[in-house]
Amino acid sequence: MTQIIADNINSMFRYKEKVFVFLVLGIVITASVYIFLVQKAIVNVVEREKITKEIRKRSTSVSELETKYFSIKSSVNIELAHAKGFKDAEVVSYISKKPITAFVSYNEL
Amino acid sequence: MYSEKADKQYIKPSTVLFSRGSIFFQSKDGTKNAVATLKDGYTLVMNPKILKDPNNAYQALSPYLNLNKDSFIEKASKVNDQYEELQKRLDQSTGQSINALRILGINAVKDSWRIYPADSLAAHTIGLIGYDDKNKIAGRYGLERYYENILTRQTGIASMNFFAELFSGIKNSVFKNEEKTGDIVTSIEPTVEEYLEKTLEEVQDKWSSDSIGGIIMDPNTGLIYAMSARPTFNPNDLKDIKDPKVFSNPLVEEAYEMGSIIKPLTMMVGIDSGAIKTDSTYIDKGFLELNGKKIANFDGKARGEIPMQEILSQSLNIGAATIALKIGGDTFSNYFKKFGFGQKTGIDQPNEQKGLTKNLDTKRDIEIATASYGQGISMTPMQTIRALSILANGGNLIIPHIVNKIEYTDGTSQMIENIKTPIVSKETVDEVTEMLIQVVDKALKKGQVKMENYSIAAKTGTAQIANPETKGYYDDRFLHSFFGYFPAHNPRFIIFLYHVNPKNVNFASETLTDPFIKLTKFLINYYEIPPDR
Repeated sequence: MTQIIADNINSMFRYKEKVFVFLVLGIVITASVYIFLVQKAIVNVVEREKITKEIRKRSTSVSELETKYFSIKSSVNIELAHAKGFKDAEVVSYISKKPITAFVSYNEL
Repeated sequence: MYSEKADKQYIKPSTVLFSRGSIFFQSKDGTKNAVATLKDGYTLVMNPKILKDPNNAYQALSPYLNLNKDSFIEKASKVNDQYEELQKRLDQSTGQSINALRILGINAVKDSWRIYPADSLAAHTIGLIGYDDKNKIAGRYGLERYYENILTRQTGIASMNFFAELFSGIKNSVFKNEEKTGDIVTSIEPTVEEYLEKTLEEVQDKWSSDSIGGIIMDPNTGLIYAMSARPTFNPNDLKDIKDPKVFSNPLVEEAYEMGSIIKPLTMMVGIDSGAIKTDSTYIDKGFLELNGKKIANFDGKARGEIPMQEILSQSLNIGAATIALKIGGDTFSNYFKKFGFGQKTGIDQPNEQKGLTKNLDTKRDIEIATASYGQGISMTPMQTIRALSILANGGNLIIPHIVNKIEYTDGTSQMIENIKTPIVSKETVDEVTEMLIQVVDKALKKGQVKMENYSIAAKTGTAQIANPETKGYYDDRFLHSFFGYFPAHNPRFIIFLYHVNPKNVNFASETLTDPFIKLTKFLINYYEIPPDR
């Protein structure tokens, strides 16, 4: 009986040892994952800030270019075209395509 | 107090920059042009408390400032003040140059603001931003207001301090409770818009009209290629605007009695309801007496027994009234309501009005008769073009819209659906279209504007303008309207034009025919539309 109790106590200590090792490993893994994720998040936040700045820079550049574009575009008109030698076509002719029915009737023959 | 202190730790005020989604026009080749976007720059500020030598400071800053010395010194004299704004909207290089001067008490701080690169182009449609009731910058007019929830940006993420931002993302990732924001892409074609605006400006200058407007739309989808109204404004420069009413879009917010352009709708109802046929005739006495009131043709003359075509070709009020009375008040009213009169069109513009259509409900002959030729009922230009589109698209009621795509910040996009509701039969609208082609080919300017290779369906309208003081009509003020679509049998475009109180001229055929034909020829060339006859 005494031997059985002694065995049980020994096995309980062995089990506690495993639990302890498991807990320590768990803490190490969790801490590593946490550090890894926080590091990732930091990198992402820094990257996002950089990208936001870049977007703003480009957006400003685009808005300036759009302003120039609309200004130049409004100066291109038919009067300018005429001044540059453009002439309206006096006689407009159109190309007629063959009616599709001709092909249908041909196929039926 | 503690909550404010906590917020100050959480937020980085010095880097809070205004942010907002963009609005784009789309060229016919698919190219997008930003017409409402952001610009970064600097705001020049002074801290009078620590500024040592205002005279020297002004000397150093004067090449960059639009501020006179007296104003500068006055601001500098507020020695108990820590913040005085000297100049806003400085460009990047100027701001950096000022900071490089290293004047204690003078600082150019980063700033961002809304810019409209196309200036006044489609200003009513795009709208503008301003301070709302909660003193927050938000869309106040036009698309800026209608799509506020898409265009607005939470300043939260951009302005949080680094560690607050790091952990705040968890909430959004887990709960996904953020509304989706993005940019909006309109169907407004910049070249067409510019051409329409130039045409409207010429017409207004020529006839000294009080106001003018126009819409170019795809009658099959309701997509709007161009829409404009004058007087207008430049959203980049509002300092000279005295009356904020100019910001409202009259194309959706003002209702007018449109006059004879409504006659084709009456004809359509007559044919569709079986009350008349295109080859029917009627006896025109030149006037009618209904409920004790007399209505007459524009010239008061009788025509005798004439065919239906003449009602549209000669724009005869008595003809339209005869059709309406034959249809019957109930049926006539029901059709006009189905055409969308008295209801909002659903266009993506704020503050849309329904117009006044009480006369459709009175059941008295006189009101039905006047409604048949576009008097006594009022409608917005947008309601008008929507109803007239039924003639052009085979008998369907469409929902006009300006935005055809939303591009969300998460990379997804959403196309706006085109909605059609069948209202009348295709056979009916084809018959009315044939009659309107005859109007252009034979009656309008005596057939001089007929295009040999293209079928154009169109109608003019000259309406009396109600006098709110006498509750009658002005004797000398008229509204001219015009609508047309082409190629008439398979239309790509419908155009609607109107102007209020043109001077020294009687009829819309004199003021709006040539601008309409000019726009039509432009669109045919620009979109390379093949001839249809």
